[in-house]
Amino acid sequence: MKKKKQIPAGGLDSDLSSTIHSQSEFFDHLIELIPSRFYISADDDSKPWYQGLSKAAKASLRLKTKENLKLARRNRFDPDAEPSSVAKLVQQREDGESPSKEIDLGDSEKKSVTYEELREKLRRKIEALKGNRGENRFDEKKMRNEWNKRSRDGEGEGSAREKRENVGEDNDDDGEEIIEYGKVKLGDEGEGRNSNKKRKMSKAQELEKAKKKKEVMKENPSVAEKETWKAAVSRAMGVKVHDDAKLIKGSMKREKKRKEKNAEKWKERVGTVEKMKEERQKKRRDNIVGRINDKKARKIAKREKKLMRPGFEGRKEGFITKE
Amino acid sequence: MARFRKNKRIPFVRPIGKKLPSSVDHVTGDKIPKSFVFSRGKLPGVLRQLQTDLRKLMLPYTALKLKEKKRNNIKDFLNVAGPMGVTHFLILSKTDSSPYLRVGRTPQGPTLTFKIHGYSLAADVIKAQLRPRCHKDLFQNPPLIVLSGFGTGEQHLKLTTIMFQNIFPAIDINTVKLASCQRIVLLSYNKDTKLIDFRHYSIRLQPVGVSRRVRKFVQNRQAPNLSGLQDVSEFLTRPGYGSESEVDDEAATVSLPTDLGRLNRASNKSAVKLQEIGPRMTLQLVRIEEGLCSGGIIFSEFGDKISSKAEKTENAGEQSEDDEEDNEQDDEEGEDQDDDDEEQDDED
Repeated sequence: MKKKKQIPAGGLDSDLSSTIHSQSEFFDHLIELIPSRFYISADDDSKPWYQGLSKAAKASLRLKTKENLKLARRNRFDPDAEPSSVAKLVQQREDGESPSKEIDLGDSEKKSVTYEELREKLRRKIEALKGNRGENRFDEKKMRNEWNKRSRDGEGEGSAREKRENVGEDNDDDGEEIIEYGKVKLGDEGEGRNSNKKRKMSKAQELEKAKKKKEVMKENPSVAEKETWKAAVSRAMGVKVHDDAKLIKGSMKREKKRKEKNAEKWKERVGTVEKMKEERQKKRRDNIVGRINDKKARKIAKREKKLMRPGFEGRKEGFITKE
Repeated sequence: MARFRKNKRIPFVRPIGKKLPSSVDHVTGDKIPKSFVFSRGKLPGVLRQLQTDLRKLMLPYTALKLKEKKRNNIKDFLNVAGPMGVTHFLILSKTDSSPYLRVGRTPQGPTLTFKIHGYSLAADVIKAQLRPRCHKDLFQNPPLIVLSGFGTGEQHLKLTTIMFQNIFPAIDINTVKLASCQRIVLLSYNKDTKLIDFRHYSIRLQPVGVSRRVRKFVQNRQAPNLSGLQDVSEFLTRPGYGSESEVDDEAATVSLPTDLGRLNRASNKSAVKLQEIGPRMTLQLVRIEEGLCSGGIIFSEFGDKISSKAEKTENAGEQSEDDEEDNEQDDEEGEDQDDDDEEQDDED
């Protein structure tokens, strides 16, 4: 044994370092055998509260997890990729977190400083939108087309990068061969909608709005034209536009009548309930009284039965001769 | 033996074909647009055929066997349309000059009036083909729609695109099945002649790079005749002359994300082949009205003086031409330069 513990010619240090190295390797190897999820805590902030989300959001989250699972499985079984180790994961985490943390700090500082600037920007934007209402529509339409084209996978069939490029060529500024497709539903749109839902206005408010619009349209013919086109376009898209004061008034009247009818029906119902109650109670009372009277009559009859001898008519009521 | 007769008198119930599918799309949650295709006035036999062709085109969200009577007005159709969830009306009519097609949205939507310059029936189109193909569930799914040349930014064209885009239900990219996209409607606008070409095709996918023999063998599953061959390899590798249509440019081939049938496998190249079915029309947008065949005219192509007799053929419930002219006076907007002529004419 002593021979084995002989100090080699290189000196103590090299031997020690090599043993330390081998031991640390051994421990690393042991650690790698532990699955990483016991080791690295998952970021709970990244997952939003699942149960509180809308259906569309839940569906998209599910899709994402499925894809993540698939990806993870592929990476696991990929023979060419390096086998990932815990150390690598830890490093990835650190790299991922630190730059974002830096950004957060920077943003928070900037936010407080430029609040005024943001307000100014917003005001300017609102005014710009108000001014360019007519022109903007065309741009929005173009943007919508491009969006449709980019996300539309070749008319619903398999995604074709080549086709997209061809479409991009067509959408030139000369506007000669702009190709548009039918309506396409993207999965991500539903999440933003929930906050933008407009509240339904009451019919009285709609009536006021319609009247005002009509007045404005009478005075200003260009505005009238714009409004009619806007109404036609939104009607074609399926949005209900209430701009006819007569129709709104008609529907208000109908609603009022319906309400009155329902109120009457309710009153009738309450009345009938009362009546039925009364009837039943009366019936019960009558039956009870009747029973008592019956009992009495039976008793009298029983008493009188004894005196119904042949030749006699019952209890004597008085003397035969009048006194 | 006593003869059994049907002594019951069944009242006339307007039979509206098979039961319409549900109003709300299960996948997207939107309302599915449905349509009625009918005619106003007496149409000659050829136009009646065109009407049935249009009805087949709009399947499955339309009433295939809609029966209309002469005394029915548009109001009657509107009354039925409400509860059934019908959103669009396609109305064919004929005047001395030409047939007209009106596309309108219920209940008070805009109406686009198209003049049909020329049309071909589906039967004729198919007769002209060498190998007509009609898949048995070709009409079980709604068609896709492609509009080309409409993007010039003019208001009436925009409205036309929006109108046509909303006639057919929306497609959800995440859940759509490739097998359900079988038909396609193409509308292409020619700026110079202002005519819209209307075409209707069926979509077929064919694998590219597979020799014809192998493809036929897989399709037909018939044992080939190998009597004259020494070896199976001869069968597979024999250089047969490929069909002319095999020479496709790259633009017409796609790589599918999923399998489609036995032939077209995922992530293999397949060629998209369109074969024309259905009617062919050449339309010209003539008028856009604010209401459903009523209301003010917001766009008019010609400055044509619409006489009270022409254009509309009859019917009490419809707006007569006189009303229309009155409405023209009321709010006449339009982006056509010919409006001046029209206003001069109308101011009597």
